[in-house]
Amino acid sequence: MAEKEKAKSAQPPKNIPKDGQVIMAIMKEMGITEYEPKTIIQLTEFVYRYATSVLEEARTFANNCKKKFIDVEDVRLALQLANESCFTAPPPREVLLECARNKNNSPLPLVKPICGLRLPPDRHCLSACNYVLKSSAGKKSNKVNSSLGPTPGIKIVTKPTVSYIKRTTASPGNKQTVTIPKPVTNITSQHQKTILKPKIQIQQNVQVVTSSLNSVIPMDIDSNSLKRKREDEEM
Amino acid sequence: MSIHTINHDKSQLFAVLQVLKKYNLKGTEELLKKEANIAVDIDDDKIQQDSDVSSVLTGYKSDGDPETYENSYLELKQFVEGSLDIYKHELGMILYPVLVHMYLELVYNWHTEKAIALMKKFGPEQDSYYQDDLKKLAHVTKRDHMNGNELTDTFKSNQFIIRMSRDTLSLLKRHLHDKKESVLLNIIQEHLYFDMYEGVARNKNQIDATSGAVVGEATRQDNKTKVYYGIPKVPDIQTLAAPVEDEEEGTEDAPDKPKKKKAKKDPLFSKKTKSDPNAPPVDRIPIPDLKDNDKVEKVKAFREASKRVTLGPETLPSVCAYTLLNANHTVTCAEVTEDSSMLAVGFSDSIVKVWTLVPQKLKAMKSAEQLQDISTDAEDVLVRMMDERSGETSRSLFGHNGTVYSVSFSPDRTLLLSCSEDASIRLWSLQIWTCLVVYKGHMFPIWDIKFSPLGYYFATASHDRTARLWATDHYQPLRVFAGHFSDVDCIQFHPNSNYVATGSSDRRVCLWDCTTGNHVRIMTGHKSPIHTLAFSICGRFLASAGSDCKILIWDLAHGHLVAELSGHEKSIHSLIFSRCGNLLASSSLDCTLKLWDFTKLAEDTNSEDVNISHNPDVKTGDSYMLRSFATKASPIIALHFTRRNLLLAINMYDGVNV
Repeated sequence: MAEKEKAKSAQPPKNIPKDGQVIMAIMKEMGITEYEPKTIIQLTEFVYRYATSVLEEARTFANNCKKKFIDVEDVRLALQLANESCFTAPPPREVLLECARNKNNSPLPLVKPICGLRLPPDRHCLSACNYVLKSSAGKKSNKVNSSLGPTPGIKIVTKPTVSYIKRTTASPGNKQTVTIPKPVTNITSQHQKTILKPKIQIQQNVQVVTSSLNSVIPMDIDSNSLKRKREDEEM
Repeated sequence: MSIHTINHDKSQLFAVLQVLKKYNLKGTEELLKKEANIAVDIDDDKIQQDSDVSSVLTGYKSDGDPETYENSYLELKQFVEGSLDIYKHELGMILYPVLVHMYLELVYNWHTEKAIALMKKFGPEQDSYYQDDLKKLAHVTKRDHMNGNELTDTFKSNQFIIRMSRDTLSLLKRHLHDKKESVLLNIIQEHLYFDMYEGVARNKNQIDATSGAVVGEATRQDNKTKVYYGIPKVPDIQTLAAPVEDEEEGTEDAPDKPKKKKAKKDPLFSKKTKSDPNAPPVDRIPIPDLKDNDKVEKVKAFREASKRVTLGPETLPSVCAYTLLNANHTVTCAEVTEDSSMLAVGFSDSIVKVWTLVPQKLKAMKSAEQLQDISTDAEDVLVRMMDERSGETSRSLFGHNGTVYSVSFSPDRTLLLSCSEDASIRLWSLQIWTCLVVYKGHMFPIWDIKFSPLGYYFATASHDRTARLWATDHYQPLRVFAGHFSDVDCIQFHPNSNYVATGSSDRRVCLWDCTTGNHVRIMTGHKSPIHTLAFSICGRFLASAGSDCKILIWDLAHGHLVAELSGHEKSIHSLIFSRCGNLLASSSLDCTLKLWDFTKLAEDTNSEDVNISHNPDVKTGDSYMLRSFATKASPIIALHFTRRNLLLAINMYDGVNV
């Protein structure tokens, strides 16, 4: 892999503690001739840390069996566990070939003719809202049943605060209009979910407090469902 | 020592017991236990350790006498050296794998001292390109070391492939038959695979050219599939250009009074491009349709291409180098957009930075309320969409959890992909400058990522020995290209987007078909890991280079090695063909940039009469090198030819460690 060898000739082994000299000898045997002096320190530290952690684990296993001294078996078990957790290796080739065979059997899916940013379904994108605005003065709302739509509750407050967020647009080449609806939300003490209402409600001059915003891109302004149309065709 | 031998004697029986238990053959089990005098019903776990079925039935379990190994090898060596000169080199190819397997067998059966002696005596006389692997093997001295060691696993489970002519093979078979050496015979039968070909036995140079890979060479079967290496015919640009320029429909027979504008473009488009017989059908893989925006871009690209300088031995390109200061310990990768307007750099502290290389700054999109006011019918809606006041010369993208190893721009310059050591791939929008998607699938660091030249698809190469093909709108990979024996280090799309080439640490370059996911070409010849790949503009040739400081050129028609360009002194990290396809530029860690004459090479290759079994002569040396540009102390990490054939180089400079 991209091991950019840092070219620095090895310092003559004077004034270096015994451990450092051991590391240098190991590197020489492995054929590494050029390395920065920092690497000796890093390797010594790794060796010390690794050996200590293995021995500590072995000690816990020995204690578990109520043995006074650490046994070879304890060390062996500690090593095995360390190997499995720290030094995982990629799966064996046969497994990979089998996986590949399964995956490659299905033909390449056709490209959907819908233009615009081709992204996976919303769940797998980072385009959802990731914050919630705290309601001002901690007023608890009474649930008001609205007759306007399937979703309940519009809280009416004196001060309207509506905020917008940036959105990615559809490719303008397609001449689609992008509309950003003013979200209307349902506020209860625990309920965090936001429900976007169709646009008509907003024009009724209802003052609302937004709690959080949903950043779904409507692909079709006529659609009442404000989720991306592709959600229906989601695999 | 004695305990081990007892265990080993019983271990085979225990293994058989395990198989019987697995298939629930209780009767046979009892019978076996009675006959073999296994009175005590020993714990399953204890048996597991030593007599795991797979390990017992593996080819390495051998009851051979350790003394004989050295003698058998010596005899084999004497046979090889005593044979006729024409056969000697091909026969010599078996010495390395035989030595490796002898060594591993001795180690597996606990004859450590004998193994070390064997390696010490015969290791240094092997070919120089095998020395690294031999050194790695020499560190394995006990059976326990073999567990999980990638190299020993590769040797253990895969046969070493040797290509031999019919005569040489019959000679070898006759010798083995006469000698009746059981140990040698076992090894050769189990671990070596001879791919026979008709023809004259090869000489040392030819053999050296294609040796070096971990499992030997590629068989003829591997390279048999037809590869569509041509570029499909571009759809008639005139009809695409017509709506942009004027209302009239442009046809091949220009109207009587051609307007000035049209006349300039006519000669470019009116030449009837014959459909290339080697080009894939356009619908071979699903391709996104061209949007209006893309068509405008294409017209622009064509216009620039017409003003392009055609390079050649007489007209060398000018080089413009961008130097990243204080870069040596943090910069890992760099990439320039297709139209040379932006530069993206990946850092080891997980940041991706994008710079603009043109006077236009990097703008962000307007806020949602401002966007509402724009009428989408306007001609320049794309320009109006961006906030003029937010222009900056460079922007940083944060999100990764580890070193960013590679970045790739989409052809339409709205998206950027980056891959990192945290095994994730991030898709960034270059309009709102945030991360859009995180693609998860690999479990290990991803070394390279490339967008397809048509957009929509992208491919990744990872430490988990696979390369994967993804599409931006699928959260899982579409294809998994498995088959390499070691990490896949670099990946590149073919210009027609139907094939993907990968280079790996197992020293092989593979060409994969995107439709089926199978490899269609395996090319061996590199002697160390491969760092960079580049397809020629015509699509027929592939150039690859890596740590062995040589550039290998492959002809994809049959997978043959065509040329081996030497000249660099340190590992090569970037290769690129000029836009006209006449020049190949390479840059390496020895702080030089070299230009090679590719037209001459292609001509020389075409003039040879080649068929699938006859290997063309490999052109070597540096006779094709046109020029070498050296920087003082800044290695070049990325190269890019602009649309007009100006060469851009991105290099790193760190004033501290000069």
